[in-house]
Amino acid sequence: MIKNAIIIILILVFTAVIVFLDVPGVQNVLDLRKDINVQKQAFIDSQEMQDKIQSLVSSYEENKDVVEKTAYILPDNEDLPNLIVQLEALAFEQGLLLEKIEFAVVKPDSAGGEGGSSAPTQNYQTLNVTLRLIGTYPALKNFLKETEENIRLIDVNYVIFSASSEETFEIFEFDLGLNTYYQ
Amino acid sequence: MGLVILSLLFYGGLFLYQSNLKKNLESIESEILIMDSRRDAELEGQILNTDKRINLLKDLFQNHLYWTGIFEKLEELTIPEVYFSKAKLTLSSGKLEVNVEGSSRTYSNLARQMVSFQEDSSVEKVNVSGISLDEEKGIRFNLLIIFSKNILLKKQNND
Repeated sequence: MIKNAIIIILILVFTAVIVFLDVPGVQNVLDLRKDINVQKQAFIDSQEMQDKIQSLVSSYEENKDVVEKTAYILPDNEDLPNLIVQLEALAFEQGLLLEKIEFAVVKPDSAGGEGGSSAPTQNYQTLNVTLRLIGTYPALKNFLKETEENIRLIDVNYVIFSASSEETFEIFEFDLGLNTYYQ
Repeated sequence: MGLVILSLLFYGGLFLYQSNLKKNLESIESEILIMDSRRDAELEGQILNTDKRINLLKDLFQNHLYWTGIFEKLEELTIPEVYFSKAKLTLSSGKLEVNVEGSSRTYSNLARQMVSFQEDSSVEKVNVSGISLDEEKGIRFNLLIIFSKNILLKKQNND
């Protein structure tokens, strides 16, 4: 009985000595187990992210035509040639004469405000367009309606109009301020 | 002797366990690398850009201005006996200011016109100025009608 107890005590003492003497080895095992747990979690996270990305990619591929349209709504640059063509077409279709057109890039600190959008963090540029149109009042209304629905987003800032002659109230001169945007 | 064997067994076991853990770790790391290598970084970049653009558009569309509604409102509120020859519609401090130069045959028509604007719930304020008698056009006046900017924010349902 005493002999067995001595053996057990010796074994325990031995194990304790081994463990204390080979602390780096034991520590290494513990570190490895910790690393494995971390990597397992990273693997699970990576797998979840992969599933999400796959679902996004599918959704993106399915809606590619819609995605392409967003580039027309908010182009990557000023794209003045297309804008001029669009404004001229809008005016022409309504029977308005486009007498003057001017462009100015709005500085970020003064953008938004009254010109439609007021994003707190401005990740887009605003291009200010001033137009002078000549034509009838119904034509202006149609022009504004078409502008509201134009593929490139346009917000009207102001509209000023006056009868072009004292004799008739049919033909007006319209001065319009517009904001359009790009990235 | 027994202790020596025991210590050898202990070190051997520790060594085997350690190498097994290392293999496991390497296997998980290589699986992560394989998974990452399957990703299309270019496509993911495009998707991120699109997402960014869509968020911008969401904000821009929330603040998109629809001006046809205000013209329909002005037509609705203008009485037939009054003519407007000049108008200036501007946005200022969250308000839509409509300055018009008009004429009417009588002062009572002008008064009726003012009441018509004042009684509409979308009108916040009406000011009249520059009232004068003109031999050709009758009564000439300037009106300032102030609307909330909200009138431009929602697309009118009457088109």
